[in-house]
Amino acid sequence: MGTFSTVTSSVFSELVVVLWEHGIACLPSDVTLFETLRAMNEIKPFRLVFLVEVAGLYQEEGRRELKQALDLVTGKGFLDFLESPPDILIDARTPWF
Amino acid sequence: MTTTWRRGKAAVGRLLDNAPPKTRTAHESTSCFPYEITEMIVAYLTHDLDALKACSLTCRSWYTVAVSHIHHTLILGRKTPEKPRDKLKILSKLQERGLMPLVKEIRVSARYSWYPLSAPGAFSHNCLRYYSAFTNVQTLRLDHLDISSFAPAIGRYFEHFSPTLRSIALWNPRCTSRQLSHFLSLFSNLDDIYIRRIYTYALEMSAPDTALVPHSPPKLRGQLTLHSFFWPETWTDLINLCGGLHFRHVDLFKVADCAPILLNACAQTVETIRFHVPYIREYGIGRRSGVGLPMDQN
Repeated sequence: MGTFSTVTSSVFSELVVVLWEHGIACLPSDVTLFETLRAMNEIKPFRLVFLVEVAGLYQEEGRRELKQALDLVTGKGFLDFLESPPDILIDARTPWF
Repeated sequence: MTTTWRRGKAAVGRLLDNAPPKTRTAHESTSCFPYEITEMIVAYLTHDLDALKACSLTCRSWYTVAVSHIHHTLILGRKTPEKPRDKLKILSKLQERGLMPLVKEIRVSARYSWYPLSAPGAFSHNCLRYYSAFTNVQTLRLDHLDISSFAPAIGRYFEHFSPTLRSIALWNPRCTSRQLSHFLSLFSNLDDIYIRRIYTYALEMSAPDTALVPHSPPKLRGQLTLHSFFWPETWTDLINLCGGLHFRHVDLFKVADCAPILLNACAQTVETIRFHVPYIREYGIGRRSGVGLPMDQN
């Protein structure tokens, strides 16, 4: 947490959590992740974004699954430290070359 | 009566002048589009090479707009075997037709993962004179580049990209930490760095690279993406050279001790931090391996 506290940039605004699609189901039970995010937000508030990298054909399915998982997370109160609900981004996984 | 006749003749003339014009040909229609409109239309097709080629065959004005998109990215050495002679043919054709300044991105890929891209193979003397004719390259994406094989004269092969290069992506480069920071320092206008995986075996036993003198501090004001990178020394070298780092967007995954150094160095400029939660699938069940935050060991 000491490292994160060194971020003094006045334009820092966004923390993006990147998942692969098979990690979405783990989110609602990942208490440690959300406790860490809460502690980080107390040091420096940010907008939280969840980004899922999926193969091109499964983008809509990935978006739906992530939304359902985040609804569960919100219901458990894991994200009540945020000023606004997290954003959802879907990124098509593309090879580098 | 003469006046009445003249007025009538003038009225008939006006009627004839206001007759609808004859239909234009298709060529005349397209050449009447403003250049900006043609650009907007063709811009929708930048990811469809076949459509771009078809547009370039319609007329000169559409060719002018489409050709810059067609030749925007040059890809060399993909999965199919490529003889050095064939590679030269591609480059000489581009040069003959004056198309080299249109190339904004070059991707060079090794054929097989255990044959790295090394100086003799990809950058022979004949190839070099063609590469130096690329005057507008903004992005280099290099797969399995064997930086150690170019050292210490790597500048000879890459320096001409320095005035325009903004972004570099390295996948599985082979080098020492000092060679990597030296290579990156060649490009004074560099903003974005993407590095995935680093070969480390056996390279630390090569001759010491204390002779590598950094060139000039790159700007590094854009995006840093590091995946599976374990050499903090590369970044301490660049931090010393540049007097700090100024990345605005940072994406880190499995970077161990590099994360605190990088976040400290970009503390005053960073806008977004991206980190990867390393969930893995084991026996059909997902579980997390580490928290995955840049301040933890992941």
